[in-house]
Amino acid sequence: MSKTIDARGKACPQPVVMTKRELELLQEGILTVIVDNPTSRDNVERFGMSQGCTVNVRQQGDDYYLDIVKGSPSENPAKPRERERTTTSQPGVVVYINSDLMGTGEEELGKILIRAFLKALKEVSPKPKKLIFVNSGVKLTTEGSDAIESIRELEAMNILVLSCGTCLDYYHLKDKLAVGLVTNMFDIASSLMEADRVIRP
Amino acid sequence: MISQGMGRSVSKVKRQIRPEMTVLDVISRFRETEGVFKKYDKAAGECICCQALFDPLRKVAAKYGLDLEKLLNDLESVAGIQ
Repeated sequence: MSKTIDARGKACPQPVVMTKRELELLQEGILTVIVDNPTSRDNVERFGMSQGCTVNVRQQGDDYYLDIVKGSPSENPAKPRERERTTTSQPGVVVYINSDLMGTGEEELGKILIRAFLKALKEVSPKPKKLIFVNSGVKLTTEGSDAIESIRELEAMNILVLSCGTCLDYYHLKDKLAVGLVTNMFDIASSLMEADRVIRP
Repeated sequence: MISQGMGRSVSKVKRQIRPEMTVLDVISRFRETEGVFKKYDKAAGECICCQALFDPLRKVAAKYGLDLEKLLNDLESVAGIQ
């Protein structure tokens, strides 16, 4: 099933609200959203990704066409002609990092291991759709972290990187976030409940 | 000690529009509130719905120096909750 929304000329947040409404009705298939400015393009893309969808973005003239694929992308015949960028993710896999250490034992070793895990994550397949950092895990996404580059590379692979806002506040790191976005417990709880699998390294 | 719990609102009033809800959450549930955010654009210096659509209200208030309590009151008032 496919459907198209023409959101050209619509002011924010209408393109995202329209997309949200239609995506909730769509069981499986492609929702194509047409927008005419980069802000709407980015917001619609981000919303699509947050819903675990694959988002193909292409530009035609001054307009942007976002093909939001809900369900299994492999079963979908849609092939963007001029793919500007493609957002793919493994449906349902969330990596939940609740510490800046991996495992229990020596702190120094724990830091080495979590850094190595994030570095290795770039090489493995399939990729998760989200990385969620909570508690001292947010130290990994903020200035001074040795893992920043690895996380940035994961984000560049269109994996959504989210850090708990309350945790950033607690550690006084809110102004030091170096990669990804701030999230809240509502989104974290939703992400974990909706995930097919949650990986905690 | 966590000074600001995620589920705690800034006042003792039990709110339906809470600080941890994102702008999109609020507008999706209470469509009338879009106009409130537009009114705050001037104080924010930019389009809140464009630049902070996925941010929680608490962050929006902090980011733009807005009075969170007033923002929540304005939103709930327009949404017909108060």
